[in-house]
Formats: sequence, structure tokens, C-alpha cells
Amino acid sequence: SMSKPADEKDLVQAVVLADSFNSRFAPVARSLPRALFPLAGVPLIDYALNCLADAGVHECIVYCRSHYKSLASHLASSPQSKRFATPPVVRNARQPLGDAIRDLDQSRLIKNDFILAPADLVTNANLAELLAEHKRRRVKDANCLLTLVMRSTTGGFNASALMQAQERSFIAVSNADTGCLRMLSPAGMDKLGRIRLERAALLSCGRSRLWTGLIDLGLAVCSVHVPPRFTDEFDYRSLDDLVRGVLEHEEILGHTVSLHVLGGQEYACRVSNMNLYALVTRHLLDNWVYPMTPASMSGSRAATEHQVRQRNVYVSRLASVHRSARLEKSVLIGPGAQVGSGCHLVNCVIGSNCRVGDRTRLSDCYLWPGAVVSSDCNISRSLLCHNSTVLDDSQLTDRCVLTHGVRVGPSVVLTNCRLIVRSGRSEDSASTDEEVKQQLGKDSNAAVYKSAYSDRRDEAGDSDADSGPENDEDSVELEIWQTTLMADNVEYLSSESDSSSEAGNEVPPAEVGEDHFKRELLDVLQRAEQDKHPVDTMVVEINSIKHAFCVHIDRLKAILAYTILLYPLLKCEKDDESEDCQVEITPAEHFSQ
Amino acid sequence: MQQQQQPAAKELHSNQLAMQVVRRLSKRLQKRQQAESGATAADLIQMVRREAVACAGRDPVDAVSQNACRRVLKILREEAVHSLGASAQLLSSLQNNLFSERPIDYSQVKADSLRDAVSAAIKELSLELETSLDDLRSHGAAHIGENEVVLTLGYSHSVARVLQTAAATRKFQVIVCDSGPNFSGSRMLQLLKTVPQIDASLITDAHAFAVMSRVHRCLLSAQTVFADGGLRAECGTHGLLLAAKRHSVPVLVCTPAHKLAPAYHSVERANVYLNPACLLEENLSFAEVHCPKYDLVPPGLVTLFVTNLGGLAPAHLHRCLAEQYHQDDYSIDAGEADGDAGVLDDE
Repeated sequence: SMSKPADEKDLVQAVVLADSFNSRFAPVARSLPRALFPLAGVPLIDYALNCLADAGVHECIVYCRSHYKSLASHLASSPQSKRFATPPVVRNARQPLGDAIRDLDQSRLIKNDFILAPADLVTNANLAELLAEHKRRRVKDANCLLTLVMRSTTGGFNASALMQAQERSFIAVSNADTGCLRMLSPAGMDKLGRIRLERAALLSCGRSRLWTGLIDLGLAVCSVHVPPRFTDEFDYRSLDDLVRGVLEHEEILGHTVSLHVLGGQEYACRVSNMNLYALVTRHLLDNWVYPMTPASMSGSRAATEHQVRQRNVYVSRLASVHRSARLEKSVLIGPGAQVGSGCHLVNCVIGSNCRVGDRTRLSDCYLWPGAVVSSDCNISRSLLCHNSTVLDDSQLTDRCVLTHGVRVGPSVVLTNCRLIVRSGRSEDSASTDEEVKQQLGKDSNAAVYKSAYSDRRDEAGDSDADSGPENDEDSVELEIWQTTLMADNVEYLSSESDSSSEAGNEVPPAEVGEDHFKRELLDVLQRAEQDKHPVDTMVVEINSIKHAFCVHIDRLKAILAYTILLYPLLKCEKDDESEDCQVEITPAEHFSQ
Repeated sequence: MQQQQQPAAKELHSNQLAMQVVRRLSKRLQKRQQAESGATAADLIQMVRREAVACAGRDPVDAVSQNACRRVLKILREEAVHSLGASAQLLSSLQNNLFSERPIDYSQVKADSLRDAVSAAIKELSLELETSLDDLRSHGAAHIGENEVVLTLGYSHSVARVLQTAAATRKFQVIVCDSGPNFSGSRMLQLLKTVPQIDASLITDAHAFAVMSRVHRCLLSAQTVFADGGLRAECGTHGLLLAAKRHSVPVLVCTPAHKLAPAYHSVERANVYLNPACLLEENLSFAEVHCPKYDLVPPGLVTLFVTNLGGLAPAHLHRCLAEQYHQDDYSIDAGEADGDAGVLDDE
């Protein structure tokens, strides 16, 4: 590991965000934070740390919201954290990125330009080079606030798998010479196949370059002015907000944002949903993230750990694989694993201490440490979390997920995006419910997962096109192996502020806090009318309660418009009845009348 | 990890690497002898064997470090036998199996009695390693005649020096295959262009078969030479050797003797796989892309091995092996790895 440099100006710092504030991995992530998901046997955050350590980062600050303890204990013991000058420090952040950076500013930890990266980023890009380029750019143009790093997926094969697995992709216009970003928008084509470009952006740019098919990595090289900017702007919640704020509303300080696009031989991808998890694992095993190979990442005695066979088969020397087992290609077998006779493995990751029975066929599946698969099974495209068990003669096909400690019974057939969780009953007793028995096998202790949203969705019918933004978030959460690009339904640069947290909060916050907010707003309007406040005072008051309730600006506009229209109506009602009435405000109700 | 930063570090030639290992071992041996008064030869041998396992652990492809350890082991064993007062008859070798006596018990020999003899022998070994490339040059240059066409692949330090030495006294033509994807052949070409007597030209690997009928000799280098005559060499060598066999062109492999490993060739031997993105930029989901750094060439394709000890026919490799390493050290098991063996005392 390297030592801290003497001069503070040479200190290279990085901030890692270990919480993505969405629930793509919902029931799985309840007990294990996403940053610690094993990807090819190594916790996900280690890849980001490895890349940062290669870039020469001295100090790393990790922000997380939930699972603070497990993350801290992992960072204390991980071999990757020993490569930094000071071991990585974990801090708490309640809300998305905005709060984390405000905390940075308050604690004054940042001394220089720093690298901002998400914990689920897997990349072999040369971040040292990026940092140097950013510094050079700042020397030439002191207003450059940050360099956004994105990955391009075009270049001959537009329908590459990475692109398809993303939830959204971006279009950008930047200056061809300086890389200064002028426009960034999610790429949605309208029905005629056109995309919308901002005329002002194109005109103000010098020699401009249009990028399409960009993937957001959540990676940026930020200058030292970014934390104060977040402190000034209360409602910045994510990097999107900052970039949009600079691109659209920049008047006073004249800050600019630059864009750096990775392409060609540099691999970079965020493991932000289940499809990407599968894809990135595949790419890792196929050596695309060289020099981060499964052999080199797994621990300190890396080179002796795995025997590398042809066609990307990595077998740990501490694993026992039967001679007649056929490891066809792209297989990683962790230490302590046992593979029985007559097995056929293709594109699998068998974690440490797993057991695979005889005559089992595994393809495209990921077994986390402790998982057990018995004999004569046929599993494809599935994820088996820690200590889950599949009993004899079962078939799991097409995107099934078994969460921690689940046992699925003998001779069961599960297909198509089933999410199986531990049922609420006592530990290991087999379920008595006949339907569950039939579905999941007579020895199972599991139940099919239904999130709170799925009930509402079932009631409202299965329409995708007409549902509002909230229901789109639900359908994305439910489909843990979501495959389609939701480009049409996604809000313009929507942040994940309205989705529930990974700590298992089932009820969306929009419904709980907003009633109170609406009442406060009504009070403000009432007081203003009584005391004859000028409009400016009203605006100040409304802004203050907006910040107090942490309401997003779009939400505020909607509620305010509604409340102002509602207010005279309520006043009329109130004049008729002279008692205070509880106001029940449900927009749906009101508009349907 | 340190392994990934190695490409950025200065490239070490194989003899420099071997010398580093030998220096390190001799320091450790001295320390051990000074620290422990009751150390026996068996302890020292165990220590060096563990170091050999650690070398294999650090880099599975690198056979040179392990071979250097084996040479030191040979020195230790020989000196132990001599100090036991017995003559060479005790050693069981190929010629001596009938007369050799009971197996040697190394724990009878005190380490102190070995000190001077071992350090002298290690000095000799270092000298031999240092001059190995020079010796190789002179031996290799003898095989190239006037106005011959020599074919080579990629860039190799030993081959470059051999060609330069030969060019001092005669004119000849060299055809270099650029070996993708890193095209080290161009580097060789740049070097050869500076030599006045050599008429150098560059072709692609695929073109080698077409020109093979005009070639008099193939001059190659290898990363490792296996005991049965197989090679681990730069990617593209196997195809070249098959073409040479087809046209009955003699193939000379110039390697210093410390690259000779006692293991047998197998396609399951360690190989390094590079980033497939250097072959194909876009990762197509339906294609499997492999970019191995080395070819594992099966035995039977090489005519002569030119080493610093002279020319060596493939059938006589085993003799060179027996002279260099002790039979007990041919296979060093990974099971002997110890907790502290992985620590590098001084680099």
C-alpha cells in the first residue's frame, strides 16, 4: 500500500457511494447491502476500490445509508482496502447523493479535486489518466465544475447487450475540442424515431459533437467546488440535478461541466439491476475487464487460488470437482465448493462452500456462498443467494431468484421471474399450505415474493401505458430481471427520490408526508389571506416549508397549483360550517368527480 | 494488484530475473545460517523449496524463478554430499544407479560446514547466469550462414543479439513475423534496420507459410522449454513451426539454459490471457474471444535448442536437465507452501 503524500495538494481522494437509493434488488438486498453482493466470488465494492487504488487514490470515503455495520466490517478486512494510504472510512447519509456531498462539505474532508464513484461500478478504465486530464482542463478553464464520465456503446454494434440491459441511455452534445458539455438528455425516441435536441445548446457550442447511446456510470471527477455548490443548492439530490442545474440554470458563477466518454478497450458498467449483474459476471469471466480477472481479484494469495483452464474456467485449488463433471466454459468455482459427478456447468459462478449434486445441469446461474443444489437438477438463468437449497430433481429456469436461506422442495418446476423468499413461518418447518406445497415442493420453507406494489398493481390492472410515474417505478421494482428499456415511460431525468428504500420500507413516502405538507400549505395560504401578506412573503414561507418537508420541486408545483385552486372552495365550505373540519386530500378522488 | 502494475515496470530479461532470485536466496541462506546455529542442510533445502513454491504462486507462467531455485537446491545437495565425506559414487544418477548407496540423509549435515562451499558455488552460478546471453550469442551466430534467409517471430532479446553477432561477419536476410495483437515484430524490425549487414523485412503471421519455402532457417525464442521438447512461446509460434515442419526447414530455438523446466508439456500448462478488447473492441454477446499470450507448442517440432552451453538436440534435453537440477527437485509441490514463504525479504 502507498503512503500519504507529504504535500496536501498531491492528496488524491475518492468518494464512493455505497447506496443507490433504489430497490432494484429488493428482497435480496434487505439482509445484504448491494455493495457486498458477491460478483464472481468477490464483494461488489472491491471492484470499485481496486480500480481506485490502481488510480493512485490515497484516501477513500464511503457513504452508505443502511447496513452500515456490515459495510464497515467488510472494509476493515478487505484486501483491497489495504492498498490505500489510509483505510476507507464509512459515513452515513440519509438521502441520495446530495446529502452525502453536503456532509462532505460540512466535515471539510475534501482538499482537492476528487473522484466520485458508485460502489457497484466495475471498470478497468484508467482513472489516474482521467484525473490528470481533469486537472489540465481546470488549469485552462477554471470554471469547469466536474467531468462526467460516461461509456459509449455505439460503434458498429448498436444493439450490444450492455445497452439493452440499461434502464436508460443518454444523448449528449459536447464541444469536440474541449469536451465541454452542452446538453444531456435521456434518449427517448418519439413515435417517428426522432430525438429532441436543444437548439440553444447546439448554437452556443463551438465545434460540437453528438454522442448517442451513452451509459451513465455515476462516475465523475469533481472539482473542489462541488461540495459547496451542493450546500448552496438545497434541493440537489443527485448528480443529475447538479448537471441539469449547471446546464440550464447557470447564470452567476459560469460553471461548466465536461464530458469524457470511455470507449474502445475500456470496460465500465454499473451493476444496477439483475440483468446487468448477470451480464457483468459473464464479462468478468470472459476476461473483458482485464486486468481484473477472477483469478487476480480473489484474495491476497491470488495467483495460487485458482487454476485457470481453457475457455475461461477458473477452479479454486481448494474446491473438489468430480472427474466426470464437465465444466464447459466461463465457470468460476470458489474454494470449498464441491461439484458432483456427471454435472454439466456452463457460464456459472459457484461460490465458496457450495455443493452441487450429481447429474445436475447448471447454466447461466450464480450460486452465492453456502448454496446447495442437489442431484438431478436443471437450473438456468437463476440466482441462488446465501445458504439457499434446491432439493432433488428440480428445475429452475428463466430468471428465478432464491433469497437467503430458502429451501425449495424436491421435484419442483419454477419458471419465469419468480422471486422466492423465506416465508414468515418458523425456521425449517415445511409449509403446510397446499398451494405453496404444490408450487414450491413439499419440503420447502418458502413463499413467492409479492411486494406491496404488486397488490395495488393487480387491482389496477396490468396496464403499462397509462399508469403514472409511480406505477412505472413499481413495475421496475417487481421485475427483478427487467429486460425492456423503459425509455418511453421514464420521466425527464427523474431521480429515484420517490422509490422506497432498501431498508424494506414498503409504504412510499409520498403518501405519508404529503398530507401534512398539504395542510401546512393551506395554513400558509390562510395566514397570508388573513394578514394581507404580500406575494413575496408567501413565496418565502412556501419555500421554507418545502425544504422542511423535503419535497421535490416538481411535486411542489403540482401540490401548490392544486392547493391554490382548492383554497377558495374550502373557504366557501368553511363559511357554511363554522367548525374546523379535517381536510382529506386525495387528488385521485377529487379529479374523478 | 502488484501483478497488474508489472507491465509498467522495466522489463527484466530472464537472466536478470534468475540472478535476482539467486541473490535473494543467498541472502536468506546466509541469514538463516547466522541466526540458527543448529540448522541442518535439510532445513536449508526445505526453505529453498518453499521459496520455489512461492515463486510459482506469484506468477504461474514464470518458470525461470523456479529454475533458479532448483539450481540453488542442486548446489546445496551436492555440497551436502561432499561434506559427508562420501564421493560421487553415493550420488544416484543415471550412470550410477547400480553402485549408489542408501539415500542421503541431509539432516546429518550441519549448515555451518556448507557455508563457504555453497557461497562459492552460488557466486559461480551468478556469473554463469550473467554471461548466459553472451555465450548464447556466440553459439547461435555460428548457425547462420552467408546469404541465408532467416525467419523469426516477434521480438526477442536473445534472437536479436544472435542476429547482431552474426551480422558482424556476414550478410544475410531476415524476415520478421509481426505477432499480433501487440505487434512486437515491428520493434524487432526497428532494431534490425540499424544493423547494416542485415536485410530485414516484415510480414504478417499468416504470410509465414507462403514464404516458408524460401527460408533456410527459423530462429525463434521461447519463454519456457519443457523437458520433452515442448515450448511455451509467443503466440503464433505453433503455426510457424508447423509450417516449418511441412517445408522441412530447420528450427533453432535460442534459449538460455535456465529456461529449461523439468515439467512435461501439456496444453493445460499455465497461460496468460490478455484483454479480448485488443482483438475485438465491441463485446459481442454471441462470440467467445480469447487472447492468449503464449502458445503451448507440442514436442517434436524443434530441430535444435541453442543454449549458452552449446547446441542441444531435443533428445538430449534430459541430460542437460540432470546436470542442472537434482532429480528430487523436479517436481515441487504446491502443498509445501507455508505462511511466511510468500514474503519477499528484499527486492
